[in-house]
Amino acid sequence: MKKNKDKKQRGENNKLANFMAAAMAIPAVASSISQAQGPPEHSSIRLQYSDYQDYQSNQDRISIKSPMLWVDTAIAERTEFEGSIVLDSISGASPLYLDTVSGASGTGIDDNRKAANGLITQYFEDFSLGIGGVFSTEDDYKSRGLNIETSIWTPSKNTTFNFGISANRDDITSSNNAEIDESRTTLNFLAGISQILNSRSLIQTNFTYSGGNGYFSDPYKLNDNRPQSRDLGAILTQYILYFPAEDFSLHVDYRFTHDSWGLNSNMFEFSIYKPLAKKWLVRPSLRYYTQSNADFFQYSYPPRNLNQFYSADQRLASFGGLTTSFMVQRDLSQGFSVDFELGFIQQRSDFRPGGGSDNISPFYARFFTVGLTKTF
Amino acid sequence: MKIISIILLSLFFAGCSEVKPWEKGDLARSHMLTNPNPANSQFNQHMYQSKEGAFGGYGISSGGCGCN
Repeated sequence: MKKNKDKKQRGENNKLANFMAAAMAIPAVASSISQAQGPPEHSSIRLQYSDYQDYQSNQDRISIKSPMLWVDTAIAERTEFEGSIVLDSISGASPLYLDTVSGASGTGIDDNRKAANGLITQYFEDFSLGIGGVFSTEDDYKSRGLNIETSIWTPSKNTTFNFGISANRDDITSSNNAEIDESRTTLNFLAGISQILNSRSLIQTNFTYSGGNGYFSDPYKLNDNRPQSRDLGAILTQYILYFPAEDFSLHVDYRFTHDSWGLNSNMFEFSIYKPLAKKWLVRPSLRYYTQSNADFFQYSYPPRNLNQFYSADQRLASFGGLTTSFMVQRDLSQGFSVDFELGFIQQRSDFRPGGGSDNISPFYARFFTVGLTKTF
Repeated sequence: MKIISIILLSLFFAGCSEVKPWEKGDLARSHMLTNPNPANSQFNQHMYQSKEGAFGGYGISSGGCGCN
C-alpha cells in the first residue's frame, strides 16, 4: 500500500487494510472466468455432497446422490489449477408412460456417472490464458471436452473481457437397445464483459453460442426423433450491488436463450448474501424460469406424423419453473467453513405467462448440498 | 421510448466512474463474486440443464449432459 502523508488517505488505507485482512479470513473462492487477475492467494479444497429427488404425479421419480471433490490452488507463482471429481449415483424412473424403460414395471434406471474436469490458468500482466478439459462417463453416455479461455483486463482492472471456446464429443448408447451407437459434437463460444461500476457494484454480461451436430434424440422415449443439429444462443447478465449500511449484497441475474428448435427461455435469479455475527453468511434465493416449447414437441402418443421430428419429453414443453432456496455458511477455525443449501423446484404449465403446454403434470424437485471447505 | 432508454442508460453509466484501488474494499468481499461457490454452482447448473430445455451463459466448460 502506497505511503501517503494525507491523514484522510492514511485513514482510508488503514480501513482497507483492516477490511482486506477480515475478508481474507473468510474463504474466498474465485471463479475461473470472472474477476480474477491472479492465482488465488490461498488454496482451497472442498468436499461436497448433493442430494436430489424429484416427484411427479405423486410418485418418486429420479433420485441422485452426488459427492464431489473440488480444488482451487496456485501451482506456481502465476499459475492456477481448478478441478473437480464427481461420482453420481442415479436411480429411479423417468417421467411418463412413454418411456421404454420404466420404474413402474420394475426395471428402473440405476446408473453411476463419473466426471472430472480441470482448468490450468496462466496469468500475465494484462491477461490470463486457461486450458481445460472435462470428461464424463456413465453406462449409456460418454462425453469429453476441451476448452480454452482468456481474460483481458484494463490497467485499472475495472473492465475485463472474457473469451472462451470449447469442443465436446458425446457418445450415446442405450442400456436396453444394443443397436443404438450414436454420437454428437458441439462447439461452444463465449464472449463477455465484466465491469466494475462503482465502489459498491459490478455488472457482467456473457454471450454464449453452442452449435451441435449429431444425435440429440432420447433412446429411452418411444419414437423420439429430434433434429440432427441444435444451435443455441444465450445472453446472461449478472449484477451485484452492495449495501454498506445494512451489510448485504444483492445479486440479480437475467438470462435469455433462443435456439434453432424454436425453444426460447427467460430466467431471473435474485439472491441476497447477508453476513451475520462475523462467522455466518445466509443466502436466500429465488429463481424464476420460463421456456417456450420446441417446435416438434407433442405431448401425446403416437406422433401425428412419423416422418417429422417428434418428442414428448416434458423438458421441451412450454412451462414455468420456480426455485426457492436458502444457503447458510459458517466459518470454523483453522480455515474451515461449512455450508448447507436447501432448495425446492416446481415446474408447472401455468407458471408461464400466457400458459404453457396442455396436460403436462406439475413437476417437483428438492435438492440439498452440504459442503466443507478448507482454505490454506 | 427511445429518449427514455437513452436517459436511463446515461443515468446507469453515470454511476460508472473510474474506481480507484483503495475504493475496492467492499468489492473484495467474498460474496461480491458472480460465482462465489463454483462447486455448488456446478451441481446446480447441471441439475437445471438436466431438467430444463435451455442452457448457457455461465461458462465455457459445462460439458455434455446425458440426461434422460
